[in-house]
Amino acid sequence: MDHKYIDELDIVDRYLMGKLPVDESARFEEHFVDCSDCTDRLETTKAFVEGLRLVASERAPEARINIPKGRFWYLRSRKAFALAAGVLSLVVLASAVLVFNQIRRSRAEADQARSVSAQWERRYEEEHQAASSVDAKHQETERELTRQLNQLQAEIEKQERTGIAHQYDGSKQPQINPLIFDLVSARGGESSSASTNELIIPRSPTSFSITVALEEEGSYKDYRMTILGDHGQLIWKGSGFKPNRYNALSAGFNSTLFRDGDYLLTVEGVAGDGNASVLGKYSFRVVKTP
Amino acid sequence: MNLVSTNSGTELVELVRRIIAGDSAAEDAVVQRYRQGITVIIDQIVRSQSATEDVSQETFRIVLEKIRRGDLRQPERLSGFVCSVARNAAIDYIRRARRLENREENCDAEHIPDPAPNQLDEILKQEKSRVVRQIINELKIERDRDLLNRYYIAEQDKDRICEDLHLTRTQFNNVIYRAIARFKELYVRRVGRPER
Ligand SMILES: [Zn+2]
Repeated sequence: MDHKYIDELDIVDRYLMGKLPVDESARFEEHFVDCSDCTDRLETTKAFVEGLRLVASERAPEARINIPKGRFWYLRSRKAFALAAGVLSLVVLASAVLVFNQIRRSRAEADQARSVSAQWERRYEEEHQAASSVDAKHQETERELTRQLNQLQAEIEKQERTGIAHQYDGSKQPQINPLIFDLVSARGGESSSASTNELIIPRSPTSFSITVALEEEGSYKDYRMTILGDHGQLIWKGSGFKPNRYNALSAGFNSTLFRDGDYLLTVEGVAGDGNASVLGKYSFRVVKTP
Repeated sequence: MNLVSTNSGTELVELVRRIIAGDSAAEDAVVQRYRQGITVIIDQIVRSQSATEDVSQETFRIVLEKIRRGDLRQPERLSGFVCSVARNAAIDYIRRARRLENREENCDAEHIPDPAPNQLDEILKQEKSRVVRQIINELKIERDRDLLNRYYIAEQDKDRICEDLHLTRTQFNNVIYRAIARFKELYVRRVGRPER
């Protein structure tokens, strides 16, 4: 990667905004880690953007956005600073910070299914592991995954359009709240009735994501997830999942799939030879609000 | 895309060879060479200056240990290896922080350390916002303020902003360049390096 390429494609900004594809991000890291020009630019731009965001948030009205428990704790720790007289345009855009942070998070959830970050992370330590063969079943799951991704992407774009509309309407608070539920695993032997995770979702059809953190990085080809209802009936099944950069899996759903009640999500790691191991069970309760 | 230039590759192979031979100066050279870059990588994931320092130290501990043991089988790929270890260490940190947080929520324990940014982070934040406020106030054209906000806060597409504000890409780049150069000047004057 050379500097002409980096400049022309705004690689520094896109890296900092988290907009680079995982493989390109890794290539850029491999370049800048040994390039003081690029690290200088990255540090300065990052500090400048942080400053801009802080100024914007100082002028933001009290946010009413619900950030789901347990995820991105550092986002929750921001405190409002004392307000000073300031630039009017920032007041409007302060709302946009919150809106776009939410959108970006949703986008990350969609991107993660395509993510090859686990491959990159292991790339240098395990050196050229044999590529796994792609069979018909895998292709089928890929198609299913693509369908889900497209659905989620469409929802994100819809949210994004709404977000931009809100951005220039100073009378409105941000309304967008892409639902992302971070599930905590059930303790050994716990039944699904002892749900530690409560998913409060609107009764009207709504898209939301469920994420689960993987406890450790295994050498799995990919992961599959199954959701059973309280009578053990199959509600949903998906495969071909890859962990995102936070070593978490996520899947997008529509609320119409669920009724009020208890569910059990099982995560399995699928090895190169097709053998699957159960990695975690996550009980959760769906509560629909009117 | 060229990943490893030949000169740099030869240099890295030599550094790795010296570390395996027990040369501590070569270890220092690796730390000096990559310290700044891995700080960026780690901070991008952990988002806390104090945590970044801890994770950075852990990264070098692992990197040097693996090199000494001869675990790095492609020494010319040292940069990629360092990035990979840094990413893994940062992800590991996030995972541990999440576990702590879950435990805290489940046990309602008050003694578990808060992973929130520390005092130093807060002071640096205040400095950054102070400098940015000054830059915004110095901007004479409202359009430039709008551009910065649209691009960096709303993260709108560059072409779309250019179209809306009737700017060429060069004019756009100039606004960004001037603002960041001014930021660097003021911020470095106050606190030193931008990373701090
Ligand atoms: Zn460079």
